[in-house]
Amino acid sequence: MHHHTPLVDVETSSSIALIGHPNVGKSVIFHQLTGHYVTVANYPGTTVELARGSATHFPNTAVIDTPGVITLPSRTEDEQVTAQVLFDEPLRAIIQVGDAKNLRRTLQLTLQLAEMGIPLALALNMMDEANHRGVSVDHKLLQEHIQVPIVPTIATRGKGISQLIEEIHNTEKPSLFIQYPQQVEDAIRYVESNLPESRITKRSLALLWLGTDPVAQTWLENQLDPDTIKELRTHRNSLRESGGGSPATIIRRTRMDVVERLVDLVLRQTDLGIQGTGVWLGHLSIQPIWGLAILALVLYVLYWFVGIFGAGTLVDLLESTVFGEIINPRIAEAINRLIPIPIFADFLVGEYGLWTMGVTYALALILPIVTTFFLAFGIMEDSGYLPRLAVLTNRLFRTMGLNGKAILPMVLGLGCVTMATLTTRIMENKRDRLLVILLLALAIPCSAQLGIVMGMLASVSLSATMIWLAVIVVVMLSVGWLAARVLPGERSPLLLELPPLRLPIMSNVIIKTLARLEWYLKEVIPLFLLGTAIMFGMQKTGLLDWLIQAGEPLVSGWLGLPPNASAAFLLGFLRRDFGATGLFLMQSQGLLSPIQVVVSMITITLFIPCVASVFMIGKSKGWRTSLAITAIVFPLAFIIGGFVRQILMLVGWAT
Amino acid sequence: MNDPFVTCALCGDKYRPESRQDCGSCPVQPDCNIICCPSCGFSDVDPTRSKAVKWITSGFFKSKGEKGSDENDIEPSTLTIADLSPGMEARIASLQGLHESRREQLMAYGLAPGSCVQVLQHNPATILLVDHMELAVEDEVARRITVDQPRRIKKMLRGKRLAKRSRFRRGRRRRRKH
Repeated sequence: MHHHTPLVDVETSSSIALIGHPNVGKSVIFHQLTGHYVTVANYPGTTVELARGSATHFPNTAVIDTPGVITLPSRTEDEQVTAQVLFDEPLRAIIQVGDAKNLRRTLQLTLQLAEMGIPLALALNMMDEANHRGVSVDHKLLQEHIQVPIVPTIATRGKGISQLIEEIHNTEKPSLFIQYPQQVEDAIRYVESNLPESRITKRSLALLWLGTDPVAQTWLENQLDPDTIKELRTHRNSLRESGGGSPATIIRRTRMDVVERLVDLVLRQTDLGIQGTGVWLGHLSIQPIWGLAILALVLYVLYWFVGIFGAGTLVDLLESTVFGEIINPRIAEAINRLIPIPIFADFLVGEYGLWTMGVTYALALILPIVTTFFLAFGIMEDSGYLPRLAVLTNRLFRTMGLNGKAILPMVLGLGCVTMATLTTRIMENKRDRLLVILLLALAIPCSAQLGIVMGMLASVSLSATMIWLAVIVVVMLSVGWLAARVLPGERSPLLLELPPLRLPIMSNVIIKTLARLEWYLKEVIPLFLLGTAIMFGMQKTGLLDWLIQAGEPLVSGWLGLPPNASAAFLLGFLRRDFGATGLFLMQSQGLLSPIQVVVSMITITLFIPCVASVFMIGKSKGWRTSLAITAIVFPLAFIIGGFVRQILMLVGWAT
Repeated sequence: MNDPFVTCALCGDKYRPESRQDCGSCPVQPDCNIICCPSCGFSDVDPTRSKAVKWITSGFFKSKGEKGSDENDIEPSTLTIADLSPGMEARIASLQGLHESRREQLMAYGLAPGSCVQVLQHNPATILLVDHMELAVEDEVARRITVDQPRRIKKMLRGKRLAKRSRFRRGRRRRRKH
């Protein structure tokens, strides 16, 4: 992230930052403090933007919800954003939200934050889960030792929040001092003498520098002259070579010792072991056999809710009734009356009109499907199931040079490929992200298309659906495997935290869904409107017809489809379902043989995703990447479609 | 393959492929898989970098592991997490067999030398328990974490019945307190 302007606006003079590990309930506490809703997520990457709201209990103060950090010095993008907040924001206080049952991890972060000299309070959250597991923490004793106020909380029930607020009112700069081994202390003194003033103490800045934190480095490079930086670097490198390990390791080990001593004093664990239905179910969901059974069940429920209820019932209702019979005719009539010039009226409500095609599509078709999908996905997220899905599918992704984390954007892609492209942030490096984006663009059919595709295949025969599925999976695996060999870089093996399975809080899920829908309406719909406008222009200038004609030899000759299928493919770029619908109409008129149905479905699935996705890829990865992916996917779809046709004819399937 | 010297097939000279003395003037990119004998200039394929050779010799379906890494193989006599069976707990001895960045990641999660970790399962991925946090790691990482003091945990996962009973008991206890 490259913001350097503070997020606080003119009315608020300072802010409170919420910092902590992922899955500890920071966002819930944010909600309690601000009364302003925000996305709550269980895995890193969904809290993309920093959320801020005005604190209801502190005048002129904003509350900032940071992405979860695992540790500082920062490595991942999320951690860097958090570190940036520490440097840039005028913070009045930090609230660290910690998991009470994982006290060691929590305290590692507490020590680091306490050294920074900003008033700090620790909220030991999820006390109910800790009690449930027989964990008890003597927080008063702990508070005495580290001189940081500690408040036990159960954020989801609002317990302890008022006490937390009171502590923030009274909190002072922490006076914790950790003594490091002599060579590190000497190094700190040397580095400190060269450091400028910053919002955090010189000591902690020196420690971040010695720990090679990239945000601290960039900040210092902007503040100091190059010679000083060079001196500091040589000093740091010489420390590493002088033996005893790198300064970062020594610092960490020292902190760990302190944490261990504290934990010995204040933590009591009764020997209850791991119990509870949630835990048992959690373990079952990652067993090889039961896990897959549970997965099949989850997929079935997903299919029913999104595919049948969302894509079927809701869309029918909206498209045919609400828009088709009620809204659209009236708007068409009104526009035609108000705007006498036919071409402008056409632009709005004609065949490729902005309203009739662009907006209707977005609201009547995509919106209900995507809403049901986001709801279902939100439930899966909040319940903690998604990381388990990553564990189950890890072996599969290994063959493609990825790890199980890739399942998350892929599942999201079944709802909307455009949104899934953004979720690829959770992949650890650029190479993995690119690979997943490629596979998303190639082989993942979004919900708009999936319903029609499956419907068409089902009406042919079960074997048609099986063939389609098999071809898609094989293509995905082989392209993934090939691309993994070609793209430089190493595979990152799976390393993932599994939060306990929890019952999702429906209000949170709904809030999250609304936030995603809002994003969708703001970002994606304008792109569809743009695409519609382009199509309109192409139709009026005759370019559309020319392209359709130009595509005919490819479509009839190589793919063996009727010539007007060419129109379906072209329009499929704009509206992914339109391509499928066009073919559906042909099938219902009896114009397509079984082989033609299978071939066209395979081609249209592999075909480039809709205009919105292409734009989104361009925005996140750059235009050259976007073009390159299109250039790969476009011919590949047709080549494979044609091959499948040849093979099916050779084998004599369904003739 | 651990031999740092390669014998040139043409002139019989031994040389080190990594030294790459002649690469500077070569128009091909310096990262190619060809090694050239400094004495006679004879070009050959670098067996340590040839993916095809690695693939064939490592078996068709075996996972590749981390390519080009400077990770060491642990001597067979040391105990690793991969050797512990589910239900066993041990203390972490060393993470030296891993990349520095991987080491940092693990330590950030609490898997540092000296911490106790319990193995929950190995299939389809190794699941570890650190404090009360479950962590999924791949076996190729688990194989490089050495441990000592292995012991079996008496109480592993219990079924639903025991859980329900204790929850009930604890719930009553809690309600009485308030």
